[in-house]
Amino acid sequence: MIKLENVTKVYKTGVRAVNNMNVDIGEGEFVYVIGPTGAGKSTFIKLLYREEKASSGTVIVAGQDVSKIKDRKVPYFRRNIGVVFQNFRLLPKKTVFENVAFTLEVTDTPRVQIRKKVRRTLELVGLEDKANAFPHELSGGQQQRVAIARAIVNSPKVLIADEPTGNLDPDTSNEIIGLLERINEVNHTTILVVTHDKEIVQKHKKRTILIEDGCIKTDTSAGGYVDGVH
Amino acid sequence: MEFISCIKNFPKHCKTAFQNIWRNGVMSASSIFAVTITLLLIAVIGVIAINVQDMTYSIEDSLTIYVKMDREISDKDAQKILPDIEKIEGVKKATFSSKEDELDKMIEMQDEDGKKLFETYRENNPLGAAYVVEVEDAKEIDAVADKISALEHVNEATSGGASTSSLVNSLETIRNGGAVFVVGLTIVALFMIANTIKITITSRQTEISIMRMVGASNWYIRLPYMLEGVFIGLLGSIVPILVVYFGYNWIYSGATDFLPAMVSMREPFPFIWQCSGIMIALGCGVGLIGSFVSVRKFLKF
Repeated sequence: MIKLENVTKVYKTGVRAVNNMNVDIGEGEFVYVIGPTGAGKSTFIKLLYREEKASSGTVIVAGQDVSKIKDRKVPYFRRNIGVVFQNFRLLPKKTVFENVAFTLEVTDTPRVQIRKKVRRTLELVGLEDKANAFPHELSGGQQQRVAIARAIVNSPKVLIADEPTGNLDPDTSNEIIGLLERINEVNHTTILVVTHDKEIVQKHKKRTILIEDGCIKTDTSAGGYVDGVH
Repeated sequence: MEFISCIKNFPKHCKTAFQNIWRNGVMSASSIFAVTITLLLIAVIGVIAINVQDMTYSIEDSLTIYVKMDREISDKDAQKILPDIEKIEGVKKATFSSKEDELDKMIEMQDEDGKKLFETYRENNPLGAAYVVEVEDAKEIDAVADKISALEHVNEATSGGASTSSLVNSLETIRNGGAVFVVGLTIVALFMIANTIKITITSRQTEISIMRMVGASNWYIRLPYMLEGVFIGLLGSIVPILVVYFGYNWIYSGATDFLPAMVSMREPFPFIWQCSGIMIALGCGVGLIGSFVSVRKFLKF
């Protein structure tokens, strides 16, 4: 599902954020990406949803060579990927329902379908009774659930979560990860969670990739060892 | 494909645009207010400038050359030089006035006693025939007058001399100054509107980045913003149009009473509709282009 071959990303400033990285993540996998600040985690995921282009090497996501996608086609490519952020990034002037429906509206989904899918997704994340609330009326955990609902409502093949629990307390964090696990099981979505939260990685054990200095230091699926996790 | 989807979603985009205006209440209100103020400014100055221009033109049009023919020649002979006058470059129209007409005009200007006195000249008219010559360009009035005086049997061709040319020059200055002022003001005003819209959109940068994140195509993002700009321009032009409509009618009906016919104001209709049309076009056009340019900045990869 996600495949990086000898990928290097050098920013214009000369910073080498990702250095000759090779990863292979299969369909339906649940993977943690951890590492210290500035190690290249963010660049790594930005390469996946084409916010950044690789300087060299190939990035393949959902069967498409990401760096070969034309600028004009990027929006269509992104419909295959759901992204969740630490700061939720909901549309503040839209209700919960509208926020989730927005993903489907841009892809010209018929209205009846939109209503059905949004209801089902809101049920999945446990927010069916908050459909008409505005984001600022919700707690952090609830907002993150809306963000997740928005990311998964069009059944993307890949869900990328960038520090999804960074702004949440431990209990809520556990709930959010539990929710992601459920999505992984129910929809067989490939899920990538970037996190700093050691507690979570230890509690919900999954394949864990440690990035340091733009390289993959260890990968538990390859029998590696992750500092401070085991 | 993208284009078809835009057309298909047009009602939805309109709805979104209205929703955005409503939900960003304060921002929208300030944008609309800015549009209103600037359009009002343009309208008032523009209407004044256009009327002043009209007036200066009608004053210029009323400037004529008075050509006195020699007294000795008969009306018939005097009429023969009409083609010669008309041949001169810059002459728009030459009207013949016979000896008799000239005397009538003179008698007309006298009081009772004078009238009686001049009536006695009927039998033996001492006046010569004359021409009233209109010129195409008031600036050339002196040159044309000189050429006419050079013709045979012409006694005198008067254009009012230096005072006329200085009047023509000052009218010209007023017109040009007014035009430059209006154009300058319009440009400034348009920048103001575009800038306000830019601020409105910049404040929604996150919104745009989210739209892009969930896979909205560039046109899908752009269109509601552009429509929003158009609606803001439209809403902003309501008050200026009302002001021009009622204000101009009011001033016009008041002014016609004391303004001489030569410097009358332009007829209110269709002038008001033309002004309104220009204001709507300006408001909407600037809204459209302003938001297009502002959004474009955030749509680059």
